[in-house]
Amino acid sequence: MFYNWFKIIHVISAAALLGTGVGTTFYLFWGNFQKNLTYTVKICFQVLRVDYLFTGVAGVVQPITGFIMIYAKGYSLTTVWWITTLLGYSLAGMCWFATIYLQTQCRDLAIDVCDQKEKLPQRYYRYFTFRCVLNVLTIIILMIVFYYMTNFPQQTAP
Amino acid sequence: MIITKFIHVLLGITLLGSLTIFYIFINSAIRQHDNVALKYTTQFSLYMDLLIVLIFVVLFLTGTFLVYQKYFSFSIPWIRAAYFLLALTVICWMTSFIIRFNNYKKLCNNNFEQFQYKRLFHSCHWLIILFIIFIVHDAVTKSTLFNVL
Repeated sequence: MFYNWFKIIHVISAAALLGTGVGTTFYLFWGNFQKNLTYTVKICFQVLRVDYLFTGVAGVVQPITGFIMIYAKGYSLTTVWWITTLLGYSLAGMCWFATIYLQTQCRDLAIDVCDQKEKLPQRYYRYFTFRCVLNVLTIIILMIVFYYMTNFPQQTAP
Repeated sequence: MIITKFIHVLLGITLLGSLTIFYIFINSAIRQHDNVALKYTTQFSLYMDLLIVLIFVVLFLTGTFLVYQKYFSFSIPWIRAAYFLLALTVICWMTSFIIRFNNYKKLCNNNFEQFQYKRLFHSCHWLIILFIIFIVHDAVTKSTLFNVL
């Protein structure tokens, strides 16, 4: 029962991690093409807040519940399945940190421009494009990790 | 079976996460009385509903396919409960769709005063989240809180 509750938390936090990631990427991409500067600034704030609140928290909860479940099942930490999953997750985490940095830059640029009532600079779109590419990359890596998660080898248990 | 389960889990978590996010964005616009943000956000959520329909259909199909592949029976209480909860989720989502669509029409026609059926809209989204969590619980524990079905 203890194992099942951690598994439920693990799945729900995966929803917060990937589901919100997909949702915010679409939202950000769509919102930036509305050509409304005030709305763009608002989106930048909202997406950053959601990234911290949902993706950040889920990003911490995922490995903790994952480790607890592995410990509870007595799986070995030297299996290819586990190492690949850990590498994938670390890579996704690095991409996420880069995404947060770029999003912060986008937000600051958008605020500056909004205050001076100017058009968004070319630098904003460069950061934005790079951010979206990194976000899509993170989602693809997480999908690969989830593929491994849903198909973990039962025979690794002692 | 490997691919079916992967698609099923992936779409399930995407559905839960996406619906929660759209709700948060719309709720934020409602609370701030920002009609411009509300219009754009509602429009976006309505477009994304096309994707949500597809996810619901594929979830139903892959779920049914998994029942056959894993030699489960449709009379197992947690499987019956999963179908029942999915149906309730679809009903809540359709109600939310109608509310958002009506409010969006008012926003476009410039006769919007305040978000209509706000309580029903909030209730629908909280119920959707709750129902999906129940489905996850039932699928993980292979038992259900809805044994009465």
